[in-house]
Amino acid sequence: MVINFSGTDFNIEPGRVFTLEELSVKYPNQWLATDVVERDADNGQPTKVTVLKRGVNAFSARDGVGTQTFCTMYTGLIPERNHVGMF
Amino acid sequence: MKIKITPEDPIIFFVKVKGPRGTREFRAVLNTGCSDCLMSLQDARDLGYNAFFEPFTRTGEGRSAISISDIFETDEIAVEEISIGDLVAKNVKVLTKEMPRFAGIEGVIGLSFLKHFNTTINFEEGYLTIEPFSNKP
Repeated sequence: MVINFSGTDFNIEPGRVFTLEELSVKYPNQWLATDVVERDADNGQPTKVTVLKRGVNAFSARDGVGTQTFCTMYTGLIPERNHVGMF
Repeated sequence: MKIKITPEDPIIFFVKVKGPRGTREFRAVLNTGCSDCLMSLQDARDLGYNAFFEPFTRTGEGRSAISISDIFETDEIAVEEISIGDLVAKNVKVLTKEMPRFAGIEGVIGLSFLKHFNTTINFEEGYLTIEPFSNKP
């Protein structure tokens, strides 16, 4: 992660639209705060987003996004490999 | 609302939670054995909900909950709206709880949301369907 002293994350490309699959390649295993720009017409699930902020955990991704409406997501496997999905 | 499911994977989808100060959208897992919904404490506070129960000093308003691994005390809040796609449930009971970091999800959708709709888990066709009540007389 390249960040200057003003806190700008240079690996974020403001306004660039990603599919969720593209996010997993560009920002693997990271937590992202995003703005949803396109949804599935049938179920309303996000399909395309722009990235607002990223972090190593959900707390840092949510913190200081600068807007009160956003979507957070993890780009890694859910659940992680070798874990059963018991919640 | 109709999404694909498989018997091997947890049923996970994005949900929107509305509060006095904004809206959060995050992945949640469907849990039909859970009486309440769960969301993160950080999101609850950021959205403007009064979620300041302190379990050690027992100050504030809290509630005991039983999970598969422990009994914990946490905030209980009434969320203005939870929505999935075009399905909207108002005044939904939610407990605050942070999910494990690598769970990849941030919430649980339980019966306090599902009670507003008819839910069908169809493994034969591989779909979860959540629909409004039919309003039959």
